[in-house]
Amino acid sequence: MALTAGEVVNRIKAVMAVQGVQWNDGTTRDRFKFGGPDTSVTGIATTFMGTFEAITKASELGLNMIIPHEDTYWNDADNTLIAEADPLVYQKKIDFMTKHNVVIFRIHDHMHRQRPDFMFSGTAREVGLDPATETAPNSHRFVIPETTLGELAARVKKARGDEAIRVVGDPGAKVRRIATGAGMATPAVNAPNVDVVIGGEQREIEGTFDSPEYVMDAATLGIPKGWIMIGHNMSEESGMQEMADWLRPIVPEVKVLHVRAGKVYWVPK
Amino acid sequence: MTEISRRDFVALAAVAAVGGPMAPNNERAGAGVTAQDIVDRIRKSIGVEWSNETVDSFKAGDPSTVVTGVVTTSMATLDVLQKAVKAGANLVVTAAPTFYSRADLSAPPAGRGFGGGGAAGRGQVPGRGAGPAATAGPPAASASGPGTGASAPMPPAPALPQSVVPPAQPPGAAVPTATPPPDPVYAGKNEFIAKHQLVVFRLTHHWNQRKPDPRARGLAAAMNWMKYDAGDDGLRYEIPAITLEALAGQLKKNLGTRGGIRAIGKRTMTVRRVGLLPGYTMIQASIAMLPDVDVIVAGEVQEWESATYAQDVAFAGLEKGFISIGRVVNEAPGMQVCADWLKTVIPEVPVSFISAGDPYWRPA
Repeated sequence: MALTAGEVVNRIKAVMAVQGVQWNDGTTRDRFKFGGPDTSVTGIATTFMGTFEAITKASELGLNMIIPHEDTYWNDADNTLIAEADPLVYQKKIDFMTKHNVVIFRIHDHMHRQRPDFMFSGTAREVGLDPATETAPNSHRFVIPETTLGELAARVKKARGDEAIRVVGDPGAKVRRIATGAGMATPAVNAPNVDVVIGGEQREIEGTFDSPEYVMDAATLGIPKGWIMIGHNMSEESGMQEMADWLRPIVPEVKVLHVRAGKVYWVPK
Repeated sequence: MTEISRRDFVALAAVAAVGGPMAPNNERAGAGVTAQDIVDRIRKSIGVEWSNETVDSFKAGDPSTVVTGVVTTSMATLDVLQKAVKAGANLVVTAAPTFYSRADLSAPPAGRGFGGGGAAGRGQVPGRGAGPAATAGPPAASASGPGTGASAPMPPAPALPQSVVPPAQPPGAAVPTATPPPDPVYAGKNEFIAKHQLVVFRLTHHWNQRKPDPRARGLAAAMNWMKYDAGDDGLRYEIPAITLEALAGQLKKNLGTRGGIRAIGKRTMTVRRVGLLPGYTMIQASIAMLPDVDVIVAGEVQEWESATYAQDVAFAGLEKGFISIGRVVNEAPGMQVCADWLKTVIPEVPVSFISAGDPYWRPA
C-alpha cells in the first residue's frame, strides 16, 4: 500500500511525542496547506518556505510532499483569501501543485519546541560557528577567540556565500561573545554578556527592543556591540536539512531530501 | 519637497491671517518659544486630527524648555543628538523611537537581553499569532540535553526512540533572577540629553498620515521624480526606462544608503512604473500594488510576506521587481519634508534636518 501524507504526519506526531514534544492541534501553522492526508507520497522535500521555486524543484526531483517551515501563501496564517487577490502568480502556483499532485504540510511551531531546535543549530552551522564554542548545550551562546566585528561579519559572509548580509556596529569593535537567533526569534543585543547577535531578521524599529539603534548608540559611546542579520530564509533554511535527516528514518519507504527555497535578495553595487 | 513647503506655506499664511497658528496668543511675548509651544503649533497645523493614543509624544527633556533650534531626524541616535547640539538646536523631532523600543522608555526593560527583544517582533505583526514556542527567545540557561549539532558535518539522525531529548521548556522559564548591571548605552544617552538639556519629541503617526505621504514625496524629490508623478496618491511614478539593477544603484546613491538596500527580481528587467510603499507594510499592500507597477520600492517588509511574494512572481518569469530600502532610511526623506514644513510653522527658530543614515553596512 502506498504511503499517504496522513501516515507521514501521524509518524511525525508519534516520534515527536516520544521525544517529548506533544502535538498541539490548535496551531494554525502546522497543518496541511495544499492537498491532504489521502495524497499518495512519492517522496518528501523539506524546505524553508513553500516557495514556487521549492515546489518546482521538488517536483522535478520526483518529490510531491513538501514540508516547509514557513508559509506557502505569503502570510503566516496561510490565509488563501489574501493570496487569491493576487492576479500574477497565485493561480499559476495552485495549477502547478494540482497538476503535480503536490501535498504541503507545514512544520514550524513543533520544530521550535524540539531540542535541539534545528533552526538554531542550523543557523550556527550556516554561519560557521564551531559547536565546541557553544557555552552549554542549546544555550545558543558562543564564545570565540577575540576578533573584530568586521572580521566576524566577513567570515559569516564567506561561510554563507551570500551577499545580502546586513551589519550594524563599529567594524573595529572587539567581540568574542555571540548569541544566535533563528528567523524572527532573534535575541536582543543588550544582554550584558553578549557582544554580537547573529540572527535572521527583525523589525528595524517599533519592537519591544530595537537592537539596530542600540548598537548604533553603543558604537558612538565606544561600547563594543554588533548586530549581524543574515536573513530569515538564510537563518532557517539549513535547519530544514537537519529536519530531512530527522525524517529519513521515520519514512524509509520514500526518498527525503532538503530542497532550498531559493535566494531571496540580491544587493546593488 | 519644495513644492510641499510652498503649498503648505500658502495654506498656513491663509490660516495665520485669521489668527491661526502663526498668531499664538498663549505664548509669552519675548520669553521665547518652548518645546511645548512648538508641539501645540504642530498639533494645530498638521492637518490631521490629533490623537493622544499614539507614539507621538515627548520622549526626553522638559517641554517647558525654551527652544534655540529644531532638528528633525529619521531616528534620534546619539550621533544625531551630538550633531544637533553642534548645530545649536535643543529640540529634536524624530520619526523613530529614541530608546530602542516602541514603548520608548528611558530605562531598559527588565531582564534585558534575555529572550526578549527581538523575539516579540513576530507577535506584534498583525495576523501573526504569537505562538509561544515560535516567539520565545532562547532560554538563558537550558536544561541538560544533547549537543546542538551545530557542526560543519551534519549531525547523525537520531535513533528512535530518543528519550534523552528533554521536553521543551515553557517560554519565560529561564528568566534570570540576578539584577543585571546598569545598561551603559541607556546611561550614556540619558547623560548626554541631560547635560545639553535636550528635548526629544517623536512625530511619526500623525506626520505620515498627511496626504500625499511625506516619505513618498521626499523620496521622489531625492530621486528627481516629482515630474514623473503618475497618480493622485503620491505613490506612483512613471520614470524613463531603466534596468532594475541600475534603479537599485540610483536609490542607494541618492538616498545615502549603505548595506540596507536589497532587491528581488531579474536585474536586467526594464522598469518604468515605480510604486512606493513607505514605512512598514504587509503583504496586502504589495499584492494590491505590484500588478500595476514594474517595481515596488518599499521601506520594510516581512521576509515571509512581501519578499517571498516577489520571489514567487520573479520565479514564475514575470518581469516584476521589489526593492527594500530599509525603514530608517525610508523615514529620512519624510523628515526632510517635515523640516521644510516646520520652518513655516515656527519661523522664530532655525530648523534643519539631520539624517540618522543607514544603520546597516555589508561585510567585505
